[in-house]
Amino acid sequence: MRRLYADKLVVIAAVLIVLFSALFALVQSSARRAYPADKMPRRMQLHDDVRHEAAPGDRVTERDVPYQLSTTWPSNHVGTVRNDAGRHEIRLRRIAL
Amino acid sequence: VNRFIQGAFWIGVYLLLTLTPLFLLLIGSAPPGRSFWTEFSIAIGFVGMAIMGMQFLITARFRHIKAPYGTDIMYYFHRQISWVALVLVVAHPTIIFAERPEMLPLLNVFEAPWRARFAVAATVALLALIVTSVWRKLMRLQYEVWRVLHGALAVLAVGLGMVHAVMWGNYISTPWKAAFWIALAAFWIGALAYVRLGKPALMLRRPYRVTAVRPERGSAWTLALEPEGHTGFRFQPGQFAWLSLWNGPFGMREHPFSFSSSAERQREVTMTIRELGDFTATVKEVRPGQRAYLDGPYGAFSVDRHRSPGYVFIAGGVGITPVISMLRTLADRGNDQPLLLIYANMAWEDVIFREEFEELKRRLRVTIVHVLERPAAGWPGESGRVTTAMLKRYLPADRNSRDYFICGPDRMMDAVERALTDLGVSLAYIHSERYNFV
Repeated sequence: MRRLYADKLVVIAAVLIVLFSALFALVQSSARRAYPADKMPRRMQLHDDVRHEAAPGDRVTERDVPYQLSTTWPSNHVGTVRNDAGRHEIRLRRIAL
Repeated sequence: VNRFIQGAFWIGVYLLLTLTPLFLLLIGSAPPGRSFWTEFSIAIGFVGMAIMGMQFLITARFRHIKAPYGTDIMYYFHRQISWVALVLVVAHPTIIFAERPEMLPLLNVFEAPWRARFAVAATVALLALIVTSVWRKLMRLQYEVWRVLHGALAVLAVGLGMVHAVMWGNYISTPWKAAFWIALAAFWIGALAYVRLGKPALMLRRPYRVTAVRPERGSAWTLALEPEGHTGFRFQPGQFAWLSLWNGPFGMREHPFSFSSSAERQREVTMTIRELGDFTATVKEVRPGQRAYLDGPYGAFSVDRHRSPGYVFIAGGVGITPVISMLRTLADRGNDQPLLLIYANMAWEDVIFREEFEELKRRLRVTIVHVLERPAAGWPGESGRVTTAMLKRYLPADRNSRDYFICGPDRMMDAVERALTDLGVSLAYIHSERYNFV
């Protein structure tokens, strides 16, 4: 019978996990609206060795979020992104701010 | 009330440690937001990893954590919550691939970047971990081999998952966040190291020596052990310890057994073990003088934890061992409360401690009811299985205020627990221990 309590705890934990994960996702996904496509992102910097492939002012998308390249990048992020015309593969290097 | 508060406290700590890391990720700089489902999949990936990490703590033999629930229930929770972890870990990439099919090539481990390879390897390790645990007996995996495999796969699953998260960079991009998650992983795996290295190192300094090996009825043997060069430990009647017989405490051949001796005689402890498997079949080969190691005591299955006007014990087969420890202890303490023991066995010849019950009847106010599943012709007592009707015949009039201790084969325990609740006994008064929890 004590197993019933343990089972209930597992169900409660699973429900809480789904709820909190959904809350996390809501908070995080709404963050994209803080970076509209036509606005310059805060601080972005291109990796030195690929800087020649794209110039500041180019518009790029990173994981579905559009950006315009400038000279600094908002967080320590490494990844391959494409500009929205699909012409350039560029790398962004993370920098500590 | 104290136990209830303790139990609620540790559940709160568990939920906090499982969910808090998720929200710590949002503190400080965070990557730009993506779609709801992408973010949701990331969240469940992190929580799945946190649950896997917490498994090390659940099974780490911390007495204070296990005390409010009992060790068998902790292992049961460990097994059940691992299914939740598996669903979360598998759902994490599944949602991403469903939303962004262009990422499916990441499953190609020959061409995918290392961060994706680590994710695949972690998931495979988790699947192997669960398959080898659920179907251990079907796969005929030796217990000792399985224990090594279980620990290794668990470390692999959590370690590789952590490397995947750190390499991917999102959310763990700043140094302090990476440090936090790596420290968290070290803390989880440290719990395993505590069980496998820290505890054995302590046990090495507190060895025991076998003083006697006595045959009992029903293919059972009683091992008597004395502490060697130290004072031993105090246990409560009904508790158990992990016994290492044929190797040092660092070995994998370690099994949990209930004490069968009186808690009032702590100098020499006994364990009564029935031949049921590879390890238990070797107990009869033990010779007096042999060194052994005990890790304990553990367990919440004890009369010492429940004040009651009287106790009812319902045991099946070798499930009598914690019960005999409680009866012997109560006899040594001169207990005069009304006691009832219902003891189920296959046949009269299998009844362990049969002769001693007569002596206990003289020392205690105990009624003993033997139930035989296959009695010989002319057996005057109860036969068949323990049923609701049978319990109704023997339980005292104040049955709703007694405490019940049940130990035996799983099916018997399920049936007895159901029968007692059918008879109106509150769950709070029903205490059980599943001895095959590993």
